[in-house]
Amino acid sequence: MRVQSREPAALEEFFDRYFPRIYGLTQRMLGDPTAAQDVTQDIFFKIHRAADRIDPERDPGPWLTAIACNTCRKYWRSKAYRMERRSDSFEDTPGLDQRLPSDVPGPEEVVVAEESAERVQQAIATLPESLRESILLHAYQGIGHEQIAEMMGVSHAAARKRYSRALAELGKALKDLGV
Amino acid sequence: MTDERNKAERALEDLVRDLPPGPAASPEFAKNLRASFSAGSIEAGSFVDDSEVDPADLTGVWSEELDDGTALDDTVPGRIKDSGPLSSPAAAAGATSSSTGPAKHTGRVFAFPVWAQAMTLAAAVALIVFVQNANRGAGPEQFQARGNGTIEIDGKTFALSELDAFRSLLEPGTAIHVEGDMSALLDFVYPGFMAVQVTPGVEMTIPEPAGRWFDRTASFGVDHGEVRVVTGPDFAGADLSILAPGTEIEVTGTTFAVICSPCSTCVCVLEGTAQMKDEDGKVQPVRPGRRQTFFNDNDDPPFEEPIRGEERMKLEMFRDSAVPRLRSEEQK
Repeated sequence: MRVQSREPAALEEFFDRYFPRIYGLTQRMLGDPTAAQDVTQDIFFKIHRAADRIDPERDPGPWLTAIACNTCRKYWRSKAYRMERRSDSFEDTPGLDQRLPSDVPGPEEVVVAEESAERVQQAIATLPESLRESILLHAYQGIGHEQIAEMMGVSHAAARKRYSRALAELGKALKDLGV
Repeated sequence: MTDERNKAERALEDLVRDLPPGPAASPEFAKNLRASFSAGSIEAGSFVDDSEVDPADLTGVWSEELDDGTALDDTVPGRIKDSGPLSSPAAAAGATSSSTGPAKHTGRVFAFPVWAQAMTLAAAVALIVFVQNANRGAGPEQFQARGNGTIEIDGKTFALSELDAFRSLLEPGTAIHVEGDMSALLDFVYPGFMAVQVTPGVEMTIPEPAGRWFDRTASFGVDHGEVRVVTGPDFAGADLSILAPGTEIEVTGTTFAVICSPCSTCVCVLEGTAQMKDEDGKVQPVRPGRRQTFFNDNDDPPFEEPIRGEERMKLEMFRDSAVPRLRSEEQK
């Protein structure tokens, strides 16, 4: 209720609870920290604007995921993104490695795991946006195909088919990266 | 084979599932965003205002003729080319570049004074403007907005309940973005011609009406979300063209819905006919009672299936409410 009335303390609590999840998702979707920051800011701007309509009886998680996905799509349609894509492809982007998560210190196993995660993230970043969205929402966020279908405005069968294709493309991309 | 495939798919799923939580944001960014969010001074992301269509992206999508080097001016009907001052010798003499050899006559039988030429031109322009205005079909009317939601028009956001505040802004060609919960709806009628229902999540332009006597094509664009349309008695002989991501939908009298997502566009036809044309010009008819889905990346072939029960019900409800409104206009 306090979030609905936009009380600063309640908004801070809300932010602390959901920010890592939202930023993590946008970072995985966009593969670029700068874009992820811009999109995350836009998402929280929308949340603030719609705070009075949050239903305290319901988990805001799905709603936040839907806002995050819509905002990522809006970013993908933006001129900024299209300009970036025109001059920069994932296959030959020298800066891509720097833009993706890396450099986590720790025992050897942790480093190996991190390297593997980095490769997976790299492979995901090469997928078309729609497939990237499909795979991250289902396999990473654990959202059911039916809900994803609703979010994407396609039938359940189409969402499943898209997911299956996303997995196939991911397999190919990993193979290309030597995994 | 299937087992092997399932095993491979499961392994890939595990790889994605086991990804660690996304890398942390920079502490400074998180701190600043948290402060502005809680204080209410947060602003929209900077990319949002940047999202107008880049003409270069349209090349080869909807206007293939632009690829062959044709100047844009040549492809836009009604655009007046800048051909120099009207008093230039060529314009004044009505000369064309096709004349060859020495002319026996100057070509000028009698000379119009410049003021007369200007008057004639002004009269011609006025006549064209008058005919175009007279031909222009009626714009949207009978707006109804209900439910919990907002509408964004030209960067301004209104609650749907404030219809009187934004009604006058809903002119043909205006871009709108409707957001809200499942109860939010906006609908409007082009008298006798068609009724349009806009659902939450839609980004579209308000339809341009078809001409009364010529240029009988109404058109609008949908970028995202679901829009339902019912055509009326005056639609006969006209058509409706809808530009959606990756496809163009041509309709000749029907009750249907267009649903756009970033990866696909779906047309659900309850009655009548529609055809979807992809970027390569391939046409796919959509029969009554069926839905056809086009994937924007063109890698997946389009597929057809029966309309889902829920969509059928919503289209029937909209048709039943819209038809009397369209007919009442006809009776007037």
